[in-house]
Amino acid sequence: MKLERREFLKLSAASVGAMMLAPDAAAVKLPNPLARAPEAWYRGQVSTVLSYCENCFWKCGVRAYVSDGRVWKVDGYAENPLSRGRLCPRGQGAVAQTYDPDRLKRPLVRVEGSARGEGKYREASWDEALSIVAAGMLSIKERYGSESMAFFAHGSGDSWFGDYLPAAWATPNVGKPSVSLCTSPRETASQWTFGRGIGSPEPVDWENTDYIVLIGHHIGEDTHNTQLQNFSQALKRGARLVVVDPRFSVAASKADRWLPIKPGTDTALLLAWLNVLVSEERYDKRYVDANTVGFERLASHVAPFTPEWAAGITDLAAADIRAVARELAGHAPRAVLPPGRHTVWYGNDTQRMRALYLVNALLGNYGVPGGFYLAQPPYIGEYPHPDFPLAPASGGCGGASAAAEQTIDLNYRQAVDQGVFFAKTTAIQELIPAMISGEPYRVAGLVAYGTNLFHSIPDVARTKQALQKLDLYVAIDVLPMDHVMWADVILPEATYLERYDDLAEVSGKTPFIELRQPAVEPLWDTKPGWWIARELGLRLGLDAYFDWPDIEAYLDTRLRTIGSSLAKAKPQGTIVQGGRPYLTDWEARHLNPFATPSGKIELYSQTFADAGFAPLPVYEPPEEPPAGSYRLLYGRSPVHSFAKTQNNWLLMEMHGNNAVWLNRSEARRLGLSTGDYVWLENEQGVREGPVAVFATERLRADCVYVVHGFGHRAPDMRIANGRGVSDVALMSRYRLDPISGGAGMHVTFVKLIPGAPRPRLPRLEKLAERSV
Amino acid sequence: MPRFGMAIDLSACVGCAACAVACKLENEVPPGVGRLWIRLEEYGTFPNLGMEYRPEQCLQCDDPPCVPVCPTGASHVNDDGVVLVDAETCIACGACIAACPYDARYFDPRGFVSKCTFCEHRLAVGRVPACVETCPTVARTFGDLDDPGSDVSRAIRAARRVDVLKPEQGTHPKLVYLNAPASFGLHKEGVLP
Amino acid sequence: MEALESLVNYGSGVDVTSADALEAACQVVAALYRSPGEGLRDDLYSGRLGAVSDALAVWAGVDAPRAPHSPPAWDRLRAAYVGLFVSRAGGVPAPPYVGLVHDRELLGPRVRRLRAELAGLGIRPRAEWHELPDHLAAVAEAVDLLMEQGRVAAATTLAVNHLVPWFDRFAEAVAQHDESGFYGELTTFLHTVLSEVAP
Repeated sequence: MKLERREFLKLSAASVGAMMLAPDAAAVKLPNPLARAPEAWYRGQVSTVLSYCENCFWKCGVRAYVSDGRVWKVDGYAENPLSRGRLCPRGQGAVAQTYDPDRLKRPLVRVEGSARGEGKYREASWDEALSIVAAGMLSIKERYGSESMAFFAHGSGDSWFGDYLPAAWATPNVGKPSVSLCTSPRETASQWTFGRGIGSPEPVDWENTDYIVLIGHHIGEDTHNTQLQNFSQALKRGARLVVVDPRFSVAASKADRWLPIKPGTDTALLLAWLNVLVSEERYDKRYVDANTVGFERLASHVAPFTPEWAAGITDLAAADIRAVARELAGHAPRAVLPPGRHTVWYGNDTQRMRALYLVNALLGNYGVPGGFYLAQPPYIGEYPHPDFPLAPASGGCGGASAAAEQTIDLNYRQAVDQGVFFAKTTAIQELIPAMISGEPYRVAGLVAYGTNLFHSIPDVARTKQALQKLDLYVAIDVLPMDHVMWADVILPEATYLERYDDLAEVSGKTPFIELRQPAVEPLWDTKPGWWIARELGLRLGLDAYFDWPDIEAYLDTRLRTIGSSLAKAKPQGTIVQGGRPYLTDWEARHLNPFATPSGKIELYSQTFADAGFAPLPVYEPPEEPPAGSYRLLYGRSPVHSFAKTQNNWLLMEMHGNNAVWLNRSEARRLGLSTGDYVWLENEQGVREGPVAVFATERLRADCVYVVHGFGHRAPDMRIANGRGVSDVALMSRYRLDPISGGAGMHVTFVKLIPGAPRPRLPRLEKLAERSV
Repeated sequence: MPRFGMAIDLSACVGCAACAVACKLENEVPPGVGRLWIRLEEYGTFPNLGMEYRPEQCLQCDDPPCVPVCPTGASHVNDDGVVLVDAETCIACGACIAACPYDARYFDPRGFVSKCTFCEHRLAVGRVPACVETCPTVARTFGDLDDPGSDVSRAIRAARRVDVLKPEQGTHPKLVYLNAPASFGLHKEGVLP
Repeated sequence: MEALESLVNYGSGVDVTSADALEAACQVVAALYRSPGEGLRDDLYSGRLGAVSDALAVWAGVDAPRAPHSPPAWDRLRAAYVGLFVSRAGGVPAPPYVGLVHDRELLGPRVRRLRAELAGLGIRPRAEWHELPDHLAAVAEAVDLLMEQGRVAAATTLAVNHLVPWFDRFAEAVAQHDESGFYGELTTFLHTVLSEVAP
């Protein structure tokens, strides 16, 4: 007897079923179950959507190909000045992140009674999670003041969580890793030399240059798309290339000269070039007279810094040093020393960048074809909002305000790191001590948006200590990174393919505005950053700043200020405007681009002198590694972005591990071969690894090198666990640049401890299956 | 009919693997196998060093050894000279994989042999292969080898030197390498001079 | 409770078919692998889930799982759920998506096929179901819905094609990584039952 249908389990009314009967559902073509190869995505109905990439911070315009509700591929598009129809490997591979099964899916709340770092979470509705965050923030405001909340932010959404929301909320304690962990020395030096920042993309006039000198700038492994395109085009055109790097980088392999400089001595080299340009009178006299101040003092300052002097310091031949200076001069003004981006090396980096800019200035290339062009931001109006109680002050790589006079609002306390260094932007690593000590005042809460706390900020032990002392720690992210699983509340953001963001405003020769729009609906219950910021803002009493009904209205209003609209912009993707790239363009309008105190390029900085710093660049010898130790240097893989792509199976297939590079003679001396496993141990006794040795000719004997971003050590980390070593984990200390606030990170010395066991790692493709 | 070919300028290639990643997504290549990979070779002694970055994939030979060995005819050459595998008629015997001197073919876990197809689905609509389109250093050129005005023909003419992999095999690849950085041409697999 | 009692009294001659067992098992799967909410809490603490799993155990001829009779504290259960199926630093050990093992990716061809099959059968996900269409709980509920309509063959085919083949690896992963013991034991048990239904 067949049993009648009955309800074995009566689902309570509170829970809704997942499925429903819908007999009128649209007929869908059933794929042929016998077909060996299912229909390729491009054979279906494919639509395209224009947006910009989020897999690094360059923001290349992409065209997303959508079929059956899923994005299958992205490509660049020709009209976009950043991608120009091409994408780097990270841009191509970003799709895999959207479909990563490990993505954060729903808000999570740390289980009561569990410890931070234990990783015990329960799911929560958005309403509950946001209410917890808002209540926590308001409680902190009441007890300690609004300044007691810190925001760390990076990525497109840092417009909301690094600028907009903290400014409306009124806290100055906002840190962007792109500032003091990356660009601040070059921005600060540029502000006080040229009166302008550098920003992104770097305003190097690649199209017109004939001679390029890269100082530790590993283009080719650094795959910032447009820069790589421009760089290779310049070489194709016949531009000469000199690479100064302790390592034979990809760029070095394309160079006419590779100068394998001793680490930490680049300033001496730059001073020697200044010496040659001055003493041999090869500098651009007319340019220097017209546009600079302080030449006489510079000239007498560099008199002792001969190539012979520098040779002894840099371990380079004096003849080579002199030859490069002469070649630079011979090609000037179409000769350029690009600034690079990650310039936080030794804690005296502002001075090194000053020296680099002075060489450029003496070549007469700043604001001139073949040198640096004058980047202009695009014009577009803001969405009208009441004045913020505090101006956003963290700076950022997309355009700095490193030295701009900060309007000090006396109603609010200054950021807890002010006074620790000269520049007025914040330094993220210097915001952390107040979380532990409560000095100068308590920082009790942190919102971390898209910032990998344990892989970007040196002294990880200190960061963890700080997190333990917070009253409230909120993480907003896409993947369950190590630091995310410490938070009290985790808010899952939708990936870039699933969301709108604020407009990207990109400075350049021809500045432009890029639209980000969703290609597909957000998966699971993830939400865009703008929505999270707005919902939080409404619960924090900041309605006045979020009076736009939705993001489309916000964007449309902004676009209308330049005669466009959201409807017009969607099929365009990018709106390009006119710029003023050269000095001649400024002079024609009787405008002065040099916003320095003197109104000229300041070879000699009176401001630095007044603040107690060297007004002209000086060389400070770096600490030497103790006997038996090597300086730890790090860099990029072309297929990875920092520490955020090591869960992307597609990119990990291309580069699934890092190794410690060691000079081959050193390896022989230590009895090590490629493939042997070692531990790396720093001076504080911190040990990381095991990591494989890569014995190579491509590196000096006094340093070792690893690619940054590996060594994720979270339990059950399927793709990245146990693969390689984390450079940041070995950085128990850093050297603070007292001018820019940058954290110099080339100051770690490590010993190689042989005999480490070979890790037993599952094959990457088994993990990439992402199945049980 | 065009005779499609490709040239890779090794002086421009930086080994970034944008092409390899693009290929995986464009062609839904499963994890663990690949149509396109990058070989890196360092040579010399400090400080006189060189690097060769060499993307490798099916070379779309004019005399492909993988076609005559196929028992079902699944492995074939189309009218544009592109060597292809028909997944439906392939019986996954592996003879073609063994016959290829360049390791260009692989077993797709769904039960057939696969390899680079010069993205023939793109060619059909007038686009270039995904690897060519994305390359940020414009190291790759593509087009009709029989048309002197095509991108690939012009690149080959302008090159300092042109090399093919394993010329002794007599396969006559239609994918050639330009401007190899070492004076002797292409590095042999796994052998440093 | 007549039917339950019938199942429980299997030994006394009631003809419980494997279709019935499949339906019961899928109801348990649908309840167990969705986000733990009031429904599961109710079914657990009322003893209903325990009663059904006991009855299924009798039918399958195996020991009944203890887990439903002594579940962990509610918060611990919710934390275990998140750590196994939702988010965990570095990787979910048992992503509950039936298409994943075949496609090696989310929302791949297998899922498209599943969605088309379901649409053909007149079933689609609710708008409030913020999950992927091949989530284990959803597929199991689809089987259950079909059984409810008396479409036994369609239900069995759906289960055999999409649910059963992958359940062994899923059960292994859950058992290996479940610190609470609750999901591990129940998943292993359900695997045994499903293997009996569709050997």
